[in-house]
Amino acid sequence: MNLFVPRVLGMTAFGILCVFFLVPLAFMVVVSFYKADPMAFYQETFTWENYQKFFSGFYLNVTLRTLWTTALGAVLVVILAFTAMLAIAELSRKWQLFWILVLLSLMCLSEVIVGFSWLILLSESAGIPRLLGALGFWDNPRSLSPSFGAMMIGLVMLGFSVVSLILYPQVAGRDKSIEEAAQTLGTAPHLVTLYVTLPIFMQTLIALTLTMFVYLLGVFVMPIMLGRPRDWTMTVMISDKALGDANLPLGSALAVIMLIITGVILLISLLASRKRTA
Amino acid sequence: MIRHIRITALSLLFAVSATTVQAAESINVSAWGGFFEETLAAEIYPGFTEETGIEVNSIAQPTSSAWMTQLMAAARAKKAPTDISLVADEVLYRGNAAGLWAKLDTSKLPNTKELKEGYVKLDDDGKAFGVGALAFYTTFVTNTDYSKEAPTSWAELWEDKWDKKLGIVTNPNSGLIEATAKTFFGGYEVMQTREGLEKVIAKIAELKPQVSLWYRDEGQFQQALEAGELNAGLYYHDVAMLSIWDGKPIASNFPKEGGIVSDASWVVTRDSKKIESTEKFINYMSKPETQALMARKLGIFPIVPRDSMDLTDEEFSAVGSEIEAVKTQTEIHLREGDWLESKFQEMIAQ
Amino acid sequence: MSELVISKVDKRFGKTVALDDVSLRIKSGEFICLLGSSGCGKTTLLRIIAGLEQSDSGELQLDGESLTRLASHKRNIGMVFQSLALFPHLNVSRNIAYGLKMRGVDAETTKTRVEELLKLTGLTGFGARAVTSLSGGQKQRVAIARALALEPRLFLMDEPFSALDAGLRDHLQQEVKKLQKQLGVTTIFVTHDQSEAMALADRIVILNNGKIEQAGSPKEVYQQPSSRFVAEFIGANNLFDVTIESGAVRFKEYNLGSSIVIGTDLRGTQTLTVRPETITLLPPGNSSGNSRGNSSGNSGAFLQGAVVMQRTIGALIEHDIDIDGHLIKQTMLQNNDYEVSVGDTVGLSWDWSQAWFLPGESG
Ligand SMILES: Nc1ncnc2c1ncn2[C@@H]1O[C@H](COP(=O)(O)OP(=O)(O)OP(=O)(O)O)[C@@H](O)[C@H]1O
Ligand SMILES: [Mg+2]
Repeated sequence: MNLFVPRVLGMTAFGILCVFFLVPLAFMVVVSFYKADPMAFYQETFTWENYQKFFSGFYLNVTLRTLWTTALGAVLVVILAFTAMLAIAELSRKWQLFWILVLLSLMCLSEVIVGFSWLILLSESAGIPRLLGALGFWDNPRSLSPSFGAMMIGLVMLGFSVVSLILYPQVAGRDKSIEEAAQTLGTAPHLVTLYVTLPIFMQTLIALTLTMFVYLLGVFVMPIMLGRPRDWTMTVMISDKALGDANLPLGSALAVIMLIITGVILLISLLASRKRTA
Repeated sequence: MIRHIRITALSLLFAVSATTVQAAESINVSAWGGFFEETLAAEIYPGFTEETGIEVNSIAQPTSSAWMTQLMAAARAKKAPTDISLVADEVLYRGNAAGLWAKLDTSKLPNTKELKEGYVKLDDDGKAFGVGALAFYTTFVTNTDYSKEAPTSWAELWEDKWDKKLGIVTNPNSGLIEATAKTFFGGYEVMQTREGLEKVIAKIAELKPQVSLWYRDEGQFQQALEAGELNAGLYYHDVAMLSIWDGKPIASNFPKEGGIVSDASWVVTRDSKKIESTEKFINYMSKPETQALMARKLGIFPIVPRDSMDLTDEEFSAVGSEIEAVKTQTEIHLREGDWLESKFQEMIAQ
Repeated sequence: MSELVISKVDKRFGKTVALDDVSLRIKSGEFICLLGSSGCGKTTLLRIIAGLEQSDSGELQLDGESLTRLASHKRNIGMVFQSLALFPHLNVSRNIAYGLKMRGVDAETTKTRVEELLKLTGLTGFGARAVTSLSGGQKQRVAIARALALEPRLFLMDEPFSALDAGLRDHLQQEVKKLQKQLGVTTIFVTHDQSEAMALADRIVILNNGKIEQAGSPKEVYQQPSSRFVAEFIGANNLFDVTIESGAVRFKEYNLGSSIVIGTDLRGTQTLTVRPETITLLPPGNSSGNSRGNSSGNSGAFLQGAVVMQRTIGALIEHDIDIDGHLIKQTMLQNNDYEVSVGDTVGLSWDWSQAWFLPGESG
């Protein structure tokens, strides 16, 4: 058996991984220790300064806020998508297909378009506030964005279709008799989802929540478009630093810290879920 | 300075590929994407091509500092994604310190004598690393449906009359710090120290309850202002004028402390292979006739003395004002850049 | 230990009639097998009893109490589903304990009850295993234990063994039968396998197109089918369309005998059923040209035909005999004195006490 070809392929794949992922990562780590130079870009002298800035309070605050926002967003996305899929799975074939197509087309929309359409929907001149005003439910209608809620809607919107489409085949194809069995064993119908369906899907939902968490951490457009400055996440700060202020060292240091925090959170969740199943 | 945030990652790629396919007599010129770049390409560059026979490939560039980051990366690879860029002061100086710009021979740029004092940026050897291109105003814009009376002072921003519908730039170098210093602290002197700057920022922080939109995307601000979701704010005079001519209920007001004026310069990329053509380009752009044409077509403020141009009073007052302007304090922004950015960001984001 | 009365239950799904006027009384402690081909409405009836489906009309009464308004989770009816429907996220013990927990039984009692059930179903020691790691038969037992945990008033099983191999099926059938007797729980067992029904049931209920064809003991439905459908559905059978006229029972041109001898007072066109194993093969009559008008007295054969197929199934030999284009099945033990082979002409006779005229079909 000639192992040459598979080896070469393997090495190539590894090489590509290195070039496209590890090299920029290494570069980022290195730059994060350079000294920022307001006049130029950075000086190639070693400093901890960038990391010290992180612990100055402000960035620490933003980090906590980011983790909390993103976690909330991820949990909301997964809960909403799961509930929606449970409901859609009850519909007739035709309607299921319809909603799946809707979700698929939603997925094709870019972040900017989703953000922009919510911007309009929440604006007082064209959107929901205006409608409420016209119907007489709101005396002095005002834009609902930028706000924390608007940003959350944007984040949830982004993840919703993906998570829904991942969940749909599993939810629609599940063995309904398990839930019926729970009923014959004395579970009231409205509690069946909570006691049986949810626990059965728990592993999947946790995995999806973590995936969404990581994905939403990197979202830039929604906080900027729909959030107030006090809602901006670390990603916004990092790109502000790296692009806006051309302070690549600080931007890199913040990115490295976020990477570490994300990694630690994922690791802990992984270990925790291992323990649960063990 | 933010102008037209349309960060297209493709722009760099496009620029690089454009270099390889161009004909012998052509240069790449990049300017802030959107209205600016489009108008320059359509109205101004053809005259240059006609006069010199040199074709211009116009490139849309993202915000100045993002563009600088890209140029920086290109410079490391000894590539020139563009031959000439239009950049704000901060990028001009920072890029120069980083050695991003080519040094130009002023004897090849005779028309630059027409420019007002200080627009040819010389290094210690008497070589030019940048040449003024144009200036533009940032003014106190209002929605006239809401605010019938034009504000006469920047101090009115702080008044409790905007129904919590102000739009302010998130970036500290919009000129708001300068305008605040001039309005409330008797001049730019207060900006010399960090304590002074902190006082100015604290004053700006008083605006927060009134501000419903801290914007970085001009489009978002303009759309909101036109729709009446914002009642007032800081905005570029030139694009505001376009809206007004479009019949939108907007006014661009010069307060008594002056509009905020910022400069933009042409710089030549260090690795450009077409220095001579770029010098011809800059020379052409410095002519009073070109400046006048830019004032008419782009609504920018010319940087040659008024009497060297044939602008009518009406045309002139459309692009600027006789009131002494609020000047962007570039040295302070450069010196305190990182600290100031962080303070400002903390102020709005906390 | 409960009595279930089903009266006039109808159920439609759109245009499909799943159940049509189903009435049945099930005695306390009885083991009922609901037998029918695929799609005849067995699962639907079971689901209506369990409260998982609403009937369009009709009534259910359990111990005199109407079930119509009682939600599924309040009925205390244990059910083993066609797909088993074990909780994949719980281990064996927790699966069994689920119902107890729902009912708020305390931990100590639950524990002893679960141990008891594990022992009862032969799963002792399997409590901590993940249900996904079990074999098919073990999963079956968990499903049974789980359904029995609450000491249900009714025990329903929907084709529980259809996916198992024959040996295991036999084994589990016996165990279930034993368990049912031991607990005395009223049981409805759905199957489409008539031999399974025969092996298990106190009473077999045969469903066809949503209608009950017959309900009776295995012996009854086998020996005295009430309809052509049942006669053909349960076991192999021979059906003869006979006419009874002036005291003679005739099949085609054959005279099968006098109705007095046969012991029937039926008249006209009737359907006679004769099980293959009750037919005896005899040497053919005196001569092949023998008059068909009379059965050949010396051999006692009613009919005569050629053997067209012969095959051996275990201890049995099965024959197909062609009588003027009508194929008759016959089976006999291997060690029979009379051996025939394909092509032979044989005579057929049977014991009239074993033959059966289908009721209600007189023309
Ligand atoms: N939810 C439903 N919607 C529409 N038709 C149904 C539904 N459930 C059952 N049916 C139809 O009702 C009839 C009876 O179905 P049922 O499941 O009771 O059959 P069954 O006897 O259990 O068959 P099998 O032996 O294949 O399990 C079938 O024609 C079936 O297609
Ligand atoms: Mg069924």
